[in-house]
Amino acid sequence: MALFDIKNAVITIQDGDTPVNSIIVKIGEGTVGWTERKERRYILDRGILDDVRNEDETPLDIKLDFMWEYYEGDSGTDATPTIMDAIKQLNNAADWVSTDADTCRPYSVDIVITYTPTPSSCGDQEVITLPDFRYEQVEFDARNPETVSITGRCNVTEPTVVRTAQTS
Amino acid sequence: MKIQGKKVEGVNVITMVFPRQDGLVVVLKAAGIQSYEEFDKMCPTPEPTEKIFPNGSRVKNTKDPKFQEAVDIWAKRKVAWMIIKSLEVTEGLEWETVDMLDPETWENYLSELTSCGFTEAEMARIVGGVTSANGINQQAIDEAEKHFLADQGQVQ
Repeated sequence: MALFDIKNAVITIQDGDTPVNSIIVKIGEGTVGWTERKERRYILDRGILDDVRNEDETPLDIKLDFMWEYYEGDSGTDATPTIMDAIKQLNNAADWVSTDADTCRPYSVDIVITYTPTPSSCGDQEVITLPDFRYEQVEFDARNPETVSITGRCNVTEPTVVRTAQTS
Repeated sequence: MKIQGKKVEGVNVITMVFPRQDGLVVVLKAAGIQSYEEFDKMCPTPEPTEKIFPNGSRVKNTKDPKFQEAVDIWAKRKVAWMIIKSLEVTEGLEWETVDMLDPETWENYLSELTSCGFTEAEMARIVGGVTSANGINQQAIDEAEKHFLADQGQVQ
């Protein structure tokens, strides 16, 4: 992933419905990050490094820590859910559908980060999809309700990244 | 409702005659549409999304390309629906590819008219007839006013 200016990025939180329900969040300040882990097992041969094998897969760790400038939903009604509603399937997002095809698993959403360098000559648009995200911890700041601090995991080992040349 | 003792009734119907070879004529009629409820049910007016700010204020995002595209499609469908609905009064008129219950087919009236040999000028007449029947043709309204006022002048 290239280093990018978070102010030129938007985050889309979307469900698994058809057509999808989503909210688009414009980020002001902060970070959006993830950690990919690949566990390896190094096997020694009489005390000397010899073989390497992959260990069990590890889910993608996600950390969303930002202040949003605004968010918008699919429709122009009061039905737009908040960010927390969307990730928790509550209130105006109560009818959102989990992105995980297995309905027995806990509710999940896709988080899509769209980074559009400005001006368009500054590089390709990058769309990073963090599929099947489930939150594990949220932190609230009563003095700054626009602050979002969420950690969680995705049921995949790495995100999907698509780069597209921008048309000027 | 009555005006000068006469009941006002009946929607406005405009008859359009298109001469064809061998003395044949194609007759289309356009009637005024009294209610757009049927259209509104199938194609509700697109609503822009709203940007919600930390202080709770909401601003309609009318610059959203998706919204603008939706309005464009909605407007085209409204015009198409108005034309085919108005022309329904034509006796025996049957469309082959237009289904009143399927908005995606409404604009097919254009290709059907073209395939039937209607020229661009004739299609403009049809649109003119439809707008006149629906009371939204300003030129027709101006002419009607002119005639009415001239008639009044003769009476006086």
